[in-house]
Amino acid sequence: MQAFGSGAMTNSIRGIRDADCILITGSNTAEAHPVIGYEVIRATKKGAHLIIIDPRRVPLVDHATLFLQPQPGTDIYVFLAMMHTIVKEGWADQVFIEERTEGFEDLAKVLDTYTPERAALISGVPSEQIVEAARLYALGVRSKGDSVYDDERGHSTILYAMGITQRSNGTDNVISLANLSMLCGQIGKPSTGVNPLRGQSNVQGACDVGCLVNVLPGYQRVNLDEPRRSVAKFWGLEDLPDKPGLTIVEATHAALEGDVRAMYIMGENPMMSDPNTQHVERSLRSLDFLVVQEIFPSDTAFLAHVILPAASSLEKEGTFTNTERRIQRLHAVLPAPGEAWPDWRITAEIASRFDQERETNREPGYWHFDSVADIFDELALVTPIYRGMNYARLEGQGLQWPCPEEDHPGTPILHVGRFSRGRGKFNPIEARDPAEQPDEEYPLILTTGRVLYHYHTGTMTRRSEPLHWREPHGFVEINPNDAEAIDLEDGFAVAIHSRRGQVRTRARITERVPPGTVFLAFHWREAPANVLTQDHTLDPVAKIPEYKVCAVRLENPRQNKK
Amino acid sequence: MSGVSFNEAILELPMVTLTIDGKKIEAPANTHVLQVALKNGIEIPHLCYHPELSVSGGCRLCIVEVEGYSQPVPSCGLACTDGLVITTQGERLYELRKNVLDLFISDHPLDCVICEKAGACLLQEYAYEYGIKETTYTPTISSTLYQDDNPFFIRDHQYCILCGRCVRMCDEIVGVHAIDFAKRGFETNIATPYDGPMIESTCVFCGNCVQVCPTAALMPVSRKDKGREWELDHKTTICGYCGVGCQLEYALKGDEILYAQASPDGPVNGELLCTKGRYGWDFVLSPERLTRPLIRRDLAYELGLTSEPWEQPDTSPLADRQPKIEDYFIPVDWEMALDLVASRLAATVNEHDPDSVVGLASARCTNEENYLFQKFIRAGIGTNNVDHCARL
Amino acid sequence: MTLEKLERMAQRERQRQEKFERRIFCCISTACLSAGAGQTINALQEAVDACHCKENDVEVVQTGCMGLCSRGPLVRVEDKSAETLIYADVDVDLSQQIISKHVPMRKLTDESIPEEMQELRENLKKARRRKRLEKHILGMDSPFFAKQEKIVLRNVGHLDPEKIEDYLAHGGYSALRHVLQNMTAEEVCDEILRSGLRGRGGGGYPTGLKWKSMHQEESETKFVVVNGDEGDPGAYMDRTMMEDNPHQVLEGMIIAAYAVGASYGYFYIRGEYPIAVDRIRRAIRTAHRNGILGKNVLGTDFNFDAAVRIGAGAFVCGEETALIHSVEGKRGMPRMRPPYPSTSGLWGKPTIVNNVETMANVPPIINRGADWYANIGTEQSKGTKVFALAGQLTNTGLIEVPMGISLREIVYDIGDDVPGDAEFKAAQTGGPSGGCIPHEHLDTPVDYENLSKLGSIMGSGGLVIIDSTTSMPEFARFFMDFCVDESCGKCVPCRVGTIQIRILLDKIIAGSGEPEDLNKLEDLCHIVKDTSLCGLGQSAPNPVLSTLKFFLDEYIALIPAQEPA
Repeated sequence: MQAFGSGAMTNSIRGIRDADCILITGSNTAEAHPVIGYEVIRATKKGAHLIIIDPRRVPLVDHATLFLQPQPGTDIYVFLAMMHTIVKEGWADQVFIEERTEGFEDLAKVLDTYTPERAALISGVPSEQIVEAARLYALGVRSKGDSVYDDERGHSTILYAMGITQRSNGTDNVISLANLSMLCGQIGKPSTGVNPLRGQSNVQGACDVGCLVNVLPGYQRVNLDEPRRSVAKFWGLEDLPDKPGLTIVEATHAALEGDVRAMYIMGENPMMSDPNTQHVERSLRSLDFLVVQEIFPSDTAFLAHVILPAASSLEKEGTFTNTERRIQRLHAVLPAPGEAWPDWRITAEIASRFDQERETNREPGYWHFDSVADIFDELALVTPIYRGMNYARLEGQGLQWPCPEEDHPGTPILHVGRFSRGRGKFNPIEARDPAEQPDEEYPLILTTGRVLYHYHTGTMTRRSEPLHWREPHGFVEINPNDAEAIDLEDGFAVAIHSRRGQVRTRARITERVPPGTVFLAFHWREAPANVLTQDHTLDPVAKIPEYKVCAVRLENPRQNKK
Repeated sequence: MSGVSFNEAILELPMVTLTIDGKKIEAPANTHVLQVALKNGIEIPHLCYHPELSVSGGCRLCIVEVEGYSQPVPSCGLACTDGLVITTQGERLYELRKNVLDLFISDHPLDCVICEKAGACLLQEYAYEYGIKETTYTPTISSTLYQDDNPFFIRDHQYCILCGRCVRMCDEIVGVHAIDFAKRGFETNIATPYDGPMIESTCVFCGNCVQVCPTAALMPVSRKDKGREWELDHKTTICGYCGVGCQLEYALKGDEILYAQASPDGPVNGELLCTKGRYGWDFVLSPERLTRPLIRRDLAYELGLTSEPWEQPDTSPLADRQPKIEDYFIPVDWEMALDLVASRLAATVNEHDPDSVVGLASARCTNEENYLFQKFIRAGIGTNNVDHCARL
Repeated sequence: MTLEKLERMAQRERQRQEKFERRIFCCISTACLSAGAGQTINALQEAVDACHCKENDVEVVQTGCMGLCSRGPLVRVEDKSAETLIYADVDVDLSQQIISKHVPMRKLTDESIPEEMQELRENLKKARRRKRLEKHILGMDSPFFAKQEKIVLRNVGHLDPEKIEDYLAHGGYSALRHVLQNMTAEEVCDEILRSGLRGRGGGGYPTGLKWKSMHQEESETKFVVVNGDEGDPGAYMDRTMMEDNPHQVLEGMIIAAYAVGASYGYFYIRGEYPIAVDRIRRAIRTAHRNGILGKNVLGTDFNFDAAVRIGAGAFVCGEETALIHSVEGKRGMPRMRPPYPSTSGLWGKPTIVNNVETMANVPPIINRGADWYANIGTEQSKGTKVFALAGQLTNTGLIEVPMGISLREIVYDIGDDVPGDAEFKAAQTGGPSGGCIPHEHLDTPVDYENLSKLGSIMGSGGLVIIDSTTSMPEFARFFMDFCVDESCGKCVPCRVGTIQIRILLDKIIAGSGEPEDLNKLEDLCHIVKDTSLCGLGQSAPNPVLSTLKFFLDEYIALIPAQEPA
């Protein structure tokens, strides 16, 4: 993250319960991260104020003091107006700003024009709500009870998720939240910070160990010679490629242009999870060779030349890193079915055979590991933030990175006393609007996300009997106003069209979504949300597609027949 | 590194010193005697108290003697103050607790011989400890309601001791308040609004109520008729769903999972889980699991593995009905599959360049697997084209 | 401004009342209403109309309870030139007699009388000749009235509960005015503390202490709750106060709010009291209109507002923590104390809960001073207590007696003994939470300490007299049944213990008990008493324990003789 110099939850999950004020934006915490939702509910029951900024009335709103419901894509104006108010009302933490940060003047200059009144006009959130949210957050105000902290200013924490990042200005949003936290000194202390809630069991770990196009394990940039060569040395090589690679979405475009010819996919389902499904399918079909390593015949697997059966998380040893940077041990509970192998073993076998094919002169056994513990030891060596860890230390409670030495206790809270990059930097951000705006042809905004009972592309949860019983069908949430406009009744079929395709599913008419917005989860292969989403405008920095905003139109099939 | 451990960061609470059973104990001022006693290894029987929940005080088992008080006081709600002198055992307490247990037992079936909770049931444990074989009163079961209206858990009211843990869990932590005490007096039971089916309530099927139930009143459907507590192995691992990283514990009989629960020591989740973590593990048993390497039929024909020519249809896999995997693929052994993959990848690099290969790692695989994967892409293939669905 | 207006209202009402030669009060409180007071008051008014009196000659006033409820409907005639008389059992016929006796009929020419009235006038003339009336006069010097001392009920039965003017004319809201103008909050707490007033809900905790500790709580928001969830079977002291003089309770509440620093209050009234709910709501509305509630009470900078919450008829909601849960909209279940509501009550804010009668005591104490109040009653129990006298007595009804009066005086003087051939056997105080007091303890002074020494409690004021025809074990079972039904189910001693007590009582009463069942019964009672969570369970065994103590013979008589082994 540009502001602090690292990108992960700055604080710990257990600290949320002691927060005095919680700001949640772009996260349906109670459904996507229920156990963190419990922490939030505990805090509110003890007297913390809860502010939710979300276009959708997510279930946690029932526990919130303030619910700000901006039009999709306009939340940046709310964040900026909150900061405007905080500066204007003198709620900023001047001591913190002076001692710990730089660039405040630049920020203040930009904020000048972002008044709550302007934000209200654009986002539809009443300006009084914005001012009140700013006050509660900045000062860490409680609704009742005593703070566990003895500070003059209560402790406020920010939780966010894909609702603000899966946007063409996602990076701007995140930087704005970082600015907000620094402005109020709400970082580097327990129960504060800026906390992305990550959606998948080991998405943090996959990033940490370098499964990103621009960084090596431990976020060491590929284009910086010194760290790259040092990693290369660990791997017994002179050097490694220094050019950042292609992200998923870029790769699918490159495939269609013929620049990418083969893909090796381990446990991913881009046919369901990536934007603009028709394009993804064309692209995968165009490859010379596609190998998919999977536990189920996913929709992506059907396009593969070779499918390799893998073990599930219940069937293997290893480690996961959670959203609060905690590395914990995974233990095999069951044997893998049939001839399925753990993924590491498959990769290692492919790698050593690949070496033989390419006739590299690497020592035999270069890709050989006796156990996952061996891999972890090498990983820890290569990854500075993991360097002090080993399996013995990880049993039980695990450790939170950074943990650079063997006697380091791990780091529950980042940026205590000092930011990773030294001083925290305010990056002045101007508001930008979503790439695709509703128009006459596509008058509604589609936003995507999850439901409680399913996970990601549904390959696992939709094969679980109890979960399937509870939520057997896909549905799209439509506001009663929009449903009435096309004479649509609850539970009936509806078609959703976007510029890229159409899906059919059943309507769930509810006020959880405001008029003008529809919500579709991406778990349902019968109604794949990403057939509709767009992939042409990515966030310029993070390369994240704008899943949360795309223009659509609804059609009632029964209405047409009449 | 800019960081401190959590304990250093947290504020120092004022401490008080109290005496429990002659032992001087330091405790933070806002804690309760039972909590402090348990932390210090002093066992006081309790049924309604649970460390994650607010104090109820309904079971009356945790009563202790306090110096200066004429009546015993429940220790769960007794605040620690300086100089407090507590006695947790003694003849009077023993008798009172025994009598209270006697009352519990008078409204509880004594069918431990067939009960699946036996061995993990708190009431059974205390009855054993206090030597209660049967009630001295007239056995009277207040409710025999048996509710199995969902595939997650069964509510068997005859075992319910109305400790209210489930109610508090549902309200205070899960925040949905799907159940509460209903009716009055001896008829009191735990119910959804108007005693409607669970699915019509606000229940989110997290099963945290099941986890904290001290008796067999709330039991997972998945373990019904499958075995007794002492036959089960418990294996701890990390949940494979979202990024919270809950520790959970699978109870297995042989190779069969009977149920999952939170392992109480989990640093993130403690005794809590969500519906997916607690109940969504049965996908691993699905007959659709991939169990052998597969090669697509057109490629297999090309390689001479089958004599039937085949062409990949144009229809999207996402068409309404997913095709059958055996219609598209034929199984092969690992050797053949691995060699084929390695040679095709090598050929691509040879014919084009390393950047023409892309690897997608997985946010659902382990650190070790992802590490190895990116190492293969970078050090093996020689490209930085390695990504995963972090953004998706 | 407000003060002047109120003063004017009081003045005007006093003048208006003084103009009348005679005023006829008819009780329309619940007991009299159910005895037909509705017809009575109509008949009185019609008869008065028929008399065609001069203006300002007579007024018929609807009013509250006069006490002797067993003889309702009651009518009191106040005549400037004659002795005040109370008539009992007043039906329509008697109403006409009363009017014909007390109200002079104006002579009119026949033409000027409407036809339908002529008959009534004839009837009235005839009624005068009947001699029934004397028998219905209750002497004001009879022990029933003479032995009482009315502080709380002083104005009940003397004013129209639906008219704030009437309350003002009787000096209403002068205590509040005095407090707001001349006293600090702390002084009010001290005054109440000095008066020795103790909680009339049954607990007997010194009200002043409660207020003081609440006063010292630092919180922006505090609440006052008036507990009108009167649940004891047969008790109706609080109902009467709320129905018949709602403003006095409200005034007490506002003073309490001022003393403790609360800005909002609730009346918690059980749903079975629709008239009380209606009257309190009306009182709140009129008080609001007249600047007594709301922003700037009586023109000062003190703000206070009140609302009514209706209970669903659960006995346990009389317990303050359960009551608080109920006001919050949750199931009424008690919780452990501490923290006491004065630290953490409604929605976690400091809250005092005071019973209706306690609140009604406050205005007289302020008006007449703590010293005056502290002179009434005994060493540790000051003031008076209102009882709902019920059971097998000649006179039953609502009485207010000074603390320390003996039970004997209540039973034989006020109550005028057990009717018929039966004899007094026991007095049950404190309702289902109380105990029975037998003949030999009749001289016990009635106060908190002495009643609990006898294994009973003062309670909220239920007082049931039992005569020699009643079986004490069955009587105890009646109350046990009540507790079995009303237990909230939270703690096991109360939920399961009470039903096991009842099972044992059933067994004994059915004649199948064994000698050791009596020991078992007593032991179980003590377990329930010692280990229950709230007052309900802790006192539920009292009726059984006290009957076991004083009437063990009756239990033993039910146990069949054991055959020799």
